Amino acid sequence: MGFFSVLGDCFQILKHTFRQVFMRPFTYFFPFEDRIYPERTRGRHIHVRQNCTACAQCVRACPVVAIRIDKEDKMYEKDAALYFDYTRCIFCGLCVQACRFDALFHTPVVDLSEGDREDLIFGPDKIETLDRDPLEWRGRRFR
Amino acid sequence: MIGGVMLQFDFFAWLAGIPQWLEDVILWIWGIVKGIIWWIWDIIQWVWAQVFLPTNFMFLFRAVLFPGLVFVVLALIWAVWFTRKLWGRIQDRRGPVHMGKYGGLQLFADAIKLIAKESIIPDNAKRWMFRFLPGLLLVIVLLPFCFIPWDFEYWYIADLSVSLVLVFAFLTAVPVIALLAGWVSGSKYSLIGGFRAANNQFAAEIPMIISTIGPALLAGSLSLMGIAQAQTNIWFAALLPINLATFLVAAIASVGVFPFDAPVADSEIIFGWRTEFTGIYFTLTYFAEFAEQMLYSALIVALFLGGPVGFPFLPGAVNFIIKFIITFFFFVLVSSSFQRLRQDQIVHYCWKYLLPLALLNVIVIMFAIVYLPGLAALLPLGGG
Repeated sequence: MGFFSVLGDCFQILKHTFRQVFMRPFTYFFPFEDRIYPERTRGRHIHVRQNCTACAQCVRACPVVAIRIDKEDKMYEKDAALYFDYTRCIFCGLCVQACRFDALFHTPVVDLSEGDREDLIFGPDKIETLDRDPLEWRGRRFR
Repeated sequence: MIGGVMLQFDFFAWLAGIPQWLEDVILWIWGIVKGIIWWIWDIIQWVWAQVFLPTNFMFLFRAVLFPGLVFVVLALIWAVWFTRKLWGRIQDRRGPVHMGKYGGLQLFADAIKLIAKESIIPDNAKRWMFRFLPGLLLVIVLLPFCFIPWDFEYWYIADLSVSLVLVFAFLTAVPVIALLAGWVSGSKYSLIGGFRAANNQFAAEIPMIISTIGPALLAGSLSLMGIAQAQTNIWFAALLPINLATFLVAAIASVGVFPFDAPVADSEIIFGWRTEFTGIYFTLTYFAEFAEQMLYSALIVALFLGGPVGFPFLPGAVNFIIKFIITFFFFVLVSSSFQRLRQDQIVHYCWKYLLPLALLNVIVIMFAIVYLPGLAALLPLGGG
C-alpha cells in the first residue's frame, strides 16, 4: 500500500500548509510591535525619585560602573539624580537588589536602540519615566 | 561658311544655362525625396486608418490591454506579490510589508534594483545568445496567453482550432531555452541545471499531454475555446479529477518550482541554469517562471474548471479570473509544501505514477460515456 499511504501523507502536508496560510505569522513587526515580556524581565531601569535617599548603594553595587550619581541635583528633600550608561549596563540586577527604599526597578522594556552612543546614557529626564515618543509607521502610532 | 556644319555652341548661353540645370537636378532629387515622404506618410495614414477601424481597434485593445499584454503583465506582478506573501504565511512569516500597502510595491523595488545592477557576462559565455535567450524565454511564455479563452463572446484574443497543441508547442520550447541558456553561460553549474530542466520536461511532458487528452476527447476539439465551451453543462473537473491532479503535478514539474526544482536547486548547483544571469537577464527569467505558472493555471481553468462558465450574474472573464486565482493559489500551495526530489525520482514518479493515472482516468471516462447515456447527453459529442 505504498502508493496510497504516500498519497495520504501528501494530503496531510497539503492540509497543514493550507491551514498555515490562514494562521497569524510568528514574526513581530519589531520596532513597532513586540512580544509581551514577562513581568520580571530585567530591562531598562526606572528611578522613583520620591523614594530615593541618595544612599548611592546602587552605584556601589554596580559591577561595571554604569551608574553615576549626582547628589547636587535635588528635586525633593534628600534624593539624587541617577545617570545610567546603557553602553555599559549588563542588566545584572544588583543595583535593584541593593536599593532598600524601593526607588529603583527594572522594567520589561528591552529595546533600547538609539541613533547615537550619547543617547544611551539615560539622564534623570529619561530614567524617571517610561514615556517616550511613540514610533510612527504609515500614520499608525505604536507604543 | 560653306562645306561644313558649324556647331553652334554658344558658350555664354551654356554658362547662363548652368543654374537652370542645377535647379532641374535639385527639383528632380526633391521629387524623389517628396515621393518617399509621401509614401511614408501614406503608409502612416493607412496604418492609422487600419488601427482605428472599429474591429481592428477593438482587436488591438484586446490584444494589448485587457486580456492581452498589459493585463497579463499586471497579473504577473500581482502573482509575484501573491506568491511571496503566501510563501511567507506558510512559513509563519509576513512576506513583504514595507514597500507600499501590504508590500504591494515590493516587486517594483526589486525590479528597479535588479535592472540597476551591472549585467555581468562571463568570459566563457556566448555573448549574443546569452543576451538573447532570457528575452526570448519571456516572449515564448507570454505568447500562449493569447489563446486563453477569458470569455466566450468577446474578451478573447485568438481562437485557433488547434490552440491546445500550439500552446504545448510553445511550452516545449521553454526547457530547450533553459538548456541552451545553461549551455551558453559557459559554467558547469548552469550546464547541469540546463540538463536537469530538460530532464524535468522529459519526465513531465508525456503525463501532462496525456492528461489533456481527456478534455480534448470529451469536447471533441483541440481548441481551448472549444474545450471551455464544451463544459457549459458539466465541468471536466467532475469527470476527470485524476487528470486534473496529474496535470497540476506535471505542470509544476514542467515549470521547475518546488518540489521539482532540480533545475535551479540552489543548495546543490548554485542557481542551476540561471546561475550566470544577473541584472535584467535574471529579472526576465524570474518573470518567465511566474508567467509559466500563471499560464498553466489558466490552462487548468480552461481545460478542467469550465473556463468562463460560473456564476451567471458575473461576466465570463470575471468568473475565469476568480477560478484562475484559486488555481494559482493551489499552485503556490503545492509548490511550497514538499521537499525537493532527485532527478531520477522525478522521472520515476512522473512515468510510473502520473502516466498510468492519467491514462486510467481517460479510459474510465470512455467507459462511462459508453455505459451511462445520461452522461454523454451532457457533452457536445454528437451521436448517441
